[in-house]
Formats: sequence, C-alpha cells, structure tokens
Amino acid sequence: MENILDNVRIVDSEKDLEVLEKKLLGKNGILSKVSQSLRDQEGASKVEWGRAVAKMRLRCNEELALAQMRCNQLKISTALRKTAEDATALPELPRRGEYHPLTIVTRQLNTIFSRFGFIPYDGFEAETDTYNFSFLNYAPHHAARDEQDTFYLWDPVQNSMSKELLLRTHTSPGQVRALQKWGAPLRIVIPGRVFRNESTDDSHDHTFHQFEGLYVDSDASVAVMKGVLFDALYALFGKKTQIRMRPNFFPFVEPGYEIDVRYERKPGEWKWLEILGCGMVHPEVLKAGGLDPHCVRGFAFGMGITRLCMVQYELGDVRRLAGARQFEVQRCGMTRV
Amino acid sequence: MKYSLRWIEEILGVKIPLTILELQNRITTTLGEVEECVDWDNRLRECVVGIVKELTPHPNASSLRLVTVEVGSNSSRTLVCGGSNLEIGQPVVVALPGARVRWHGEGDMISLGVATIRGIESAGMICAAEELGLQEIFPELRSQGSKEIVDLRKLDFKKNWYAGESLSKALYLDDIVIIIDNKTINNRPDVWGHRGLAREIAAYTGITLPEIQASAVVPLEGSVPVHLLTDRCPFYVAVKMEISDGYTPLKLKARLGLCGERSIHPAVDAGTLTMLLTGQPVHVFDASKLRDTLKVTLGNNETFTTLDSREIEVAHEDIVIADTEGPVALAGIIGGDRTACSPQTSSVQLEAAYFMPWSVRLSSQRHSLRTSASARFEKNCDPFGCIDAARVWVAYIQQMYSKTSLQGYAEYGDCTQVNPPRILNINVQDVSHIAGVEISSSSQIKILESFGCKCIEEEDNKETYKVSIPSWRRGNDLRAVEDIAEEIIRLRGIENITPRFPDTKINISLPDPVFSLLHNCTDIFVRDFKARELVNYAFVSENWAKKLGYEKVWKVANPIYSEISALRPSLVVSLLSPNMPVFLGWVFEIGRVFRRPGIITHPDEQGVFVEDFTSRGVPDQPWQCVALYRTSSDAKWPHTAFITACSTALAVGESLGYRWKITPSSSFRLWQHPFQCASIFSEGKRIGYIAGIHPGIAVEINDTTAGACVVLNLSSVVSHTVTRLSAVLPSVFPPVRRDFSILTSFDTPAEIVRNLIEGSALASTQINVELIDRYLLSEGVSTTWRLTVTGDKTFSVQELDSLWSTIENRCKEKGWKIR
Repeated sequence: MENILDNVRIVDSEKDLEVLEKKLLGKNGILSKVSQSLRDQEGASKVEWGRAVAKMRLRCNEELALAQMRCNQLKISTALRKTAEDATALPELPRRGEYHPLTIVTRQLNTIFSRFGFIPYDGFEAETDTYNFSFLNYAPHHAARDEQDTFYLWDPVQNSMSKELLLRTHTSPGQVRALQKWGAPLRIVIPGRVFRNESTDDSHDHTFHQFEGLYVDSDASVAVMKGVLFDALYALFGKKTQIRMRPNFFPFVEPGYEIDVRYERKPGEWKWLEILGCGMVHPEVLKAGGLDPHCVRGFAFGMGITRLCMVQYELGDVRRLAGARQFEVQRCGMTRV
Repeated sequence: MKYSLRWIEEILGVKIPLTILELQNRITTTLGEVEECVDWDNRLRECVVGIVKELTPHPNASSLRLVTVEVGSNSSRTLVCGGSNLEIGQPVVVALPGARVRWHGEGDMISLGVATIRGIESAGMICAAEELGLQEIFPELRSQGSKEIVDLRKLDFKKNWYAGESLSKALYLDDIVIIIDNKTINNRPDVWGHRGLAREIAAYTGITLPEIQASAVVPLEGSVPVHLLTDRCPFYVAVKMEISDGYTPLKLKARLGLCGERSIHPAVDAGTLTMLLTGQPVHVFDASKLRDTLKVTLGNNETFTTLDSREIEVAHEDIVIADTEGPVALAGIIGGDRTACSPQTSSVQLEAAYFMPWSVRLSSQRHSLRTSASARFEKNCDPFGCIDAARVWVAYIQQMYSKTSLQGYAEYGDCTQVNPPRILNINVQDVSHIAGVEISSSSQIKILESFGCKCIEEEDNKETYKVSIPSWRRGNDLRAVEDIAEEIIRLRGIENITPRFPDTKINISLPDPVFSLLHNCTDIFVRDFKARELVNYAFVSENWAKKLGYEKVWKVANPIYSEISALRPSLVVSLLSPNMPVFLGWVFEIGRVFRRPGIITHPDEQGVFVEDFTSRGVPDQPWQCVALYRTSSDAKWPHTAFITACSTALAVGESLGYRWKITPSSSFRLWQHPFQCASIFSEGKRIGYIAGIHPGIAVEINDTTAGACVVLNLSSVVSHTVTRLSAVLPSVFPPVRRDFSILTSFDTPAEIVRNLIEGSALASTQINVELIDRYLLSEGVSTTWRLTVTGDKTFSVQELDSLWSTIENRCKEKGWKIR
C-alpha cells in the first residue's frame, strides 16, 4: 500500500490517478484486501478493526485529493502556455504629452523659490523705455538702449520708430511694476521671455527666457541674498556643487554680483558656468517703485532659464528651444515635472 | 583686457606674494573674471637662442638641410631643417626635446622628442614663428613663405644674441599674461590700465603702490596752441617734442605684444604703452604735418582718411580734431592718415584729452570703428589721468630716443569741472546692514584707504565717517553708501560673508491667477490630451500673417531679419507657418499675442482682459492658448479634427472648472474653414473659438491632413468664476436605456434635438442624452441617440411608454422622422 501511495504523490496525469485510485479503493483494491486480512486476524476487537480501516481510508483520500489538485493545476498551466508573454517584446512606447523644457525648468525654479515664499508675477513682453531702462537706473545714453541691442516697436501713428515702446530686454521691469502694485514687503519671481537685438549663434538667440526674483524687506542684505540664492542653487545642482560669487556691474543693483557654479561639461571637464546675476536693489529702483530707500532694502536676481535648459538637456544649439527647430529634439522622457 | 604680470610687479616694485592661481582667484572674486592666465615662460620652455654655424645638404632629401647650431657655450648640435632662409651666423629659435610646439603652426601643442628625419637623427628643431606662437607677440616674425624660420635679427638689429640663452628671457617673454573678461570690468575704466590693476592687487596684498614714474613737466600756456570749440571736450593736454634717432626696445615691443597691441613707430608705441599703463588713451601726431593751430570741434560732413586707410565722412555728431586743412582725427577713436608718424618724423605732438563718453560711443558705433582707445573713452576715463598720461609719454619718449627736446606742454579746460571732488558721509551701521554682517568702523576705513580713498573720522561721532573719493573712482561709481559697501564687501572678501536665511516671516500670498491658469491649461493638454507643448518666437512674417487674415499688426522697427518683423497677433500665425513640421495629434502653445490699439477684431478673439494694458502704457498683449489638432483627412464623425477639437475644448473647460458652451458661428479669418467654426462661451461671454483649417491654407504649408484649432483668450478666461466640484451619487434604481435615430433637415443643429429630448423628462427623472452616431443621408442628417433614464424608483412600462410617445410626438411636430 505504501508503494501505491508513493506513486500517488508523484502522479501527474488524471488517467494514471484514476488507475491508482482503483488500485487503492476499488472493489478489489488494496484497502479492501487489507481490511479483509485484518478482519481475518484473530484476537482483534471489531472496534479496533473498524478504526484502523477508517484511518487508512482517510489517508488514502487525502493523498488522492492532493494529487487531484496537482493534476488540475498542471492541466491549466499547459492550457495557459498558449497565452505566455515576452516582456521584452515591446512596440514603440505609447504616445505621451510633452512639456517644453523651458516649462520644466521654470516650474523647477518656481518650486524652489516658493519655499522662501516667492510667488510668480506676470510681466509684460512689450514694455516701455521708462520701465525697461529709466526706472532701472540706466543713463540716457547707456549702450543697452541702442537699436543694436534693443528691439523698438514701429509706431503706427507717427509712422516712425517708437521712442517709448520696446520689447523688454530683461525681466527686470517687472520689479518696478510689482513694487508699484504691491509695495513692500515683497517676494516675487518673474519668469518670462526677453528679447535682444543681436546676431544669433549656437549659444545666443534674439529671444530667450529669464527668471527674475525680487526680495524687498527690512532684513535684506548681501548675507541673506547669499543664503537664499546658494540654497536655491544647491537645490538645483546638488548639495555638493561648488559655487562662487564675484562682483559684476548692473545699473539696477548696487552692489552687483555674478554667481557661477562649477559643472561637468564633459566627463572630467569641469567649467565655471555663469548662472545668475544678482545684487542689492539700487535705491533709484526702489524710488521708482514708490518706496523710500532709507526704510527698506531689497535684493534682486536674474538667471537664464534658457541657459539652464542648455545645460540640463545638452541641447547643443540654443535655437532648438523655439520655432521649427524645436522638432530637431526628441523630447521623450522629458515629461516629468 | 590683457595684463603683463611682470609689468604689474614692476609698477608695484615688489613681487606679488601670491601664487598665480591665488592671484587669479582673488582677481576673479574681487574685481572681474580672469578668463585665462597664459604662462609664456612655460610655453617657451626648452626653447633657446641658437646661432647657425654650418649648413650642409641632407644626404637623402633635397628640400632638407643639416644645420649645425650653437645652442650654448661650446655646445652645438646638428639638426635637420627645411628652412628656406637659413644663413650662417643667423640667430634662430631652437626647440629642444621637451619643448612644446605646434606642427606647421596647426593643431594642438605637442611635446617635442628626438626624431629621425629621412635617416638622420635630429634632437630638436629650428622653429618658424607659428610653431611656437611667437607671431602673436611679434607680428613681424610671421613667416612670409611656408618654409621660413624665425630670424631673430628681424626683431632687434642691435641686440647681441647669445647662443643657449633661454628664448623667453631673450625675448622678454618670461612673463604671465592675465586675461580679464572685458565685460566684467566695464564699469571700471581705472583698471583698463596696468596701474589700475596694480592698485587693486596692492589693496588686497597690503603692498603700498609707489608714485607713478613720469617726467616732471610744467605746463606753459599757449606753448602748444589748441582751440576747444565744443563742450564735448572739456579738457585737453597737448605736448610737443622734437625727436631723433629712436627705436622701440625689444622689452617694450614684447610688452605691447603680450598686451595684444602692435608695435608701429617708436613715438606711437610710447603712446600705446602710456595707455596700457595709465588706462588713458592718447594720440600722437606728426607735428610737422599739422597745418596751423589744432581745434577740437564737431564734424561738418567732411571726408577723412583714417590711419587704417578707411574713408569716413564725419557728421555733426562726431567730435573731430582738425587743422586748417580739415580733420586729422576722429576724436577718441582713430587718427588720420595725413598726420601719421613715419620714419622721417622729427617732431611729434601728443594729445591726451577727455571726450564725452557717450559721444565717443555713438561715433564709434556710427562708423563701426571700435578701437582700444574708444573702448576706454566710452567707459568714462578720469580726466586727471590725461596729465599723468602726458608725463608718462614724455618719459617713454625720452627712454626711446637718444635725442629729444620738449617744445611745449599745455593744458586746456578744467578737470575739476568734469570731475569735481567728492566727499561722502558714511554711516558705519548702513554698511553693516547692507553686508548683513557687522564690520567695524576701523576695518571699513582700512579697506577704503587701501585703494586710495581718504577717510576722516569725527572726534565726537563714532557712528559716521567722511570718505574723500579719489578722482579715478569718481567717474561712474562710488557715489553713495551702497557703492562704498560694495567696495568694503569685495575687498574684505565676498566669501567672508556668511550666508543667512531671511528672518522676517513669510507672507504667503496666492500666485497671480494668470499663472495658475497657464499652469493648469498646460497640464491638461499635456497629460490628458497627450499634446506636445511648443514655444515659438514672437516674431512672424507680416505677409504670412496677412495671408492668414491678420492685418495691421504690431511691427518691430529694427528687426534682425526684415521678413520677420511683425509681432504675432495670434499664436495661430506661427503654428500654421510654412516652416513648421506637420504632426498628427495635438500640439499647443501658450503665449502672449500683440494687438494694435483701435483695431477692431472679432469678439471671439477680443475677449475682456483683466489687465488694463493701456493704463499701464504698453500695447495690448493678452495671453492666448492655441491647441492644434490634426488627423487624417478621411476621418469620420466623431473623429474629424473639428469635432475632436470641439469636444476637447469642452473637456478642457470642465477640467479647468468652467462650464463652457459651444455655439456654431461663421469664420472671420482667412485660415478658418468656412463651415467649421464655433464660438466658446463662458458665463455668456465669448472666451475663444474653434475653427477648422481652411484647405487652401493647408495646401500652402504642405499639410495633407485635416486640422482644427482651439483658440482660448486666457487673459479673459481668468476673470471667470470656477464652478465648485459637486459629487453626483449613482441612483440605486436600475437605469433604463434606449437607442434611436432621428432624421432631421441639414440645417438643424444637434443641440436642438438634444434640448428637445432633455425637455421631455418626467418629473423626478433624469435623462442623460448621448449622441452616439451621426451621418449624412441624401434627405437629411441622421443622428443616433442613447437615452438613459434614471430616477428615484424603478420605472413601470407605462411610464416609459408615455415618455417615449412624448418624444415621438414632439419630433413629429418638428417634422423629424424617428427611425
């Protein structure tokens, strides 16, 4: 009997199982034979005999049930083989929407600066000379005001070049507009595109995107500016990034600085990358914004979103960010925001 | 700007106690960015002066020779050389193994080894200028033919050349050139001369800057007559000297070369060196060629030939220096050919003047002439520098010429009028507040005095002190406490300012609603409709805009390309432009568009803006969103481009939280399909439209698909109220569904049918009507509807039948057939 039970434990087809079942429990099966032989044995009580047979039957049934289950599973598995799949046999990935790299970087920056309470402010693209230059402390003959640097609009009424309307050359006019609208204290960022009338090449375009920031409060100082901006840059480039700050001149800040980060352009080739200009808001700008420079101070900064995109996405040519040439860049995998 | 380190150390009188790397970092973080330091001593390592002793033909090559050169006392070697101008006794440049050379003057520098050339071993090479880059410093060494090697006698005939002498020492190139990015020192005309940089370095090394080395000259009025006839030149120094027998010593030639200038003529070189030292540009005339008294005046449409032989016409906006025969110089920019110095020149006249910076800049721009001089004048040089410059020049002339005599020296105008003395009252605490760290009064004063300020502390008031600003820092900067703070912060070291987080509390405010709308709109198109976000230039072609139906657009007066001078009146103009690739599916752009005032546009486009642009003095420039959908041209309802665009527009509105409605309308722009147009309404106001693309326009942009645009005026959408989200719970009773088709006439909008069915609902039941098919038959339009009725009970057969007959009757009244 034990021999047959061993076979039951390894049987893998229902047919074989049926045969074994007959051998065990059938009319002339082993169980009936054993039961016969036990009954014939002398000196055993009827009760004991009955118990022993019942125990044996139970054991047989258990083993058979297990075997039955195994056989069933095997049968299903064989049937499912037809629906086997290969996870490596894939078609093209499904179509997804694509954010523009400029949107992605702008949102990153918005998020970083929102931790310090900076909220986005919307500036104009077509601006006035007053807001773009005069309010920002540019001298009347400053080189930036030249036609070679700034796009002026054509005045349809006078039928001549407008002296007042232009395309903003930086996002900074938003500083004065925001100050006039909200006053101090103020923490805003102004993302947006700006225009320069200069010839274009791989790394220069006549249109590019800037990210401006303005902080006006009683505690504004070079130290606070450094704290906020360095933290933002660590958030952007990683905690271990080397950052350096050096003096630079912009008419609307005093003192003015430029901040560079060290980044790996190619494996093993590290370069200082000019990442943002910043400084303490010039008293003239605060005055233009309707504030008393003796009472509040502020700091402002501006960075090139376009430049950041170039670095992050290794675009090679800045003109691939806009117009027909943006289709040269496959933006797959750039949808995470 | 290029600076010679040796020269700076000569000015300081001591060696700078910093390594070149330390110095480079220091200059970068306190003054302007050092782009590069070129170590010429290292670049010319293992290069020596050699004297050619013997020339024999190469046994295996006709174009090569074996040259025996002396490369040290009693040491000579035989080298293989193809030089065409080799001569016995000639001093040449020998690069020994280990030197860095550039083969044939091309490619990267490589390290020289011992080479076997056509079977003969050559331990070194006789170099052409380009192989070592010497022509960068001494242009006269540039090889004339391809096989010319350097003949050192070209540089200096009088000099004795010693075989074996290190080349860098022999040529005075044992120096390091510090190159500072010009744009980072634009506001510091004082450092556009070596003395200025020396003063900076002195300030952070604690070295005392010695007095300038110059000849003492006493002005004598009228000794060199000059008439100042324009207020654009308020100060002028003129010096006249007789000279004979002079040359520019090799050391000074090397210096000119290292600083990126050219040696021209000894007297002119003296002027260039003066500029490089003091930062003040000067001009040298051949005095004998000047006709009568010089005058400084404005141009009068005369033509004049510049030193570099360009004919230019001077206008009334240009300051010119003229004699009785006409202009002799375009002031501050370039001198004239007629009065240039020549080898015969025996009398020279110097001009060191202050010209109005803006005038020089505009002239240099107008004539497209940018010179070392104009670059400096533009930045507003210190007029007091003219006096120093004149004296330094005299000293150089005396050094270069064996015979000189000073004929006259005169100053015209008043420096102090242009650059009056300036004393600032500084509050010690103000400086600390700006910096964000405590800086004591004594350390503030120490820093300020290190670069030439004079500070006076008051006895009874320790909170303030007075600063007298030196003339060379009064031009552009150092006007207020902010400027003083900047000087103190940078010289104290920006790295010594400890970064701090703001300690004022944040006022949390909501972002500009426009930004939230742009953000959400972008998300919905990208995420829900798998659209590709595009960014296009604001500039479009005026003609193309006209072709699409946009007239009277804003234009840029000075565009880069005249054919794209218009500012886009709608994003459609760039999305449908001929150079944009055609893509199936959705693309979209969000951006500002520009509207001319007084130009009446269609109400669908106009919208009502939250922002009143005119009161802000700027052109109307609302935010617009245009989404363009393209599908194959044989798509059937409901997959046609226009229907997809319409339903997507409603879905976008719903996702944004608005209840928009669409109403059929007619086209109003040339790019729009005449029978695929609809307006979008929000709260009864028009906020945009949907339009199919006109096949005529599609052909022009090689577009064989069918397309449609959703145009949203985001600037007016933003003012509308967002509907609050409400939860709809499903009915516990089973819904009843029924599908049926209705045949209507062609001009019956589906909307009317829908309204009719919805209007037939019984009390306390809800009817959901869904259009599931639509096709055109010869006798009319067939629409198939799915009716789902739900309510607060299970409907009886009678109830449904009565609803059904109501619908049937109403349709019959309208003349529609139910199928």
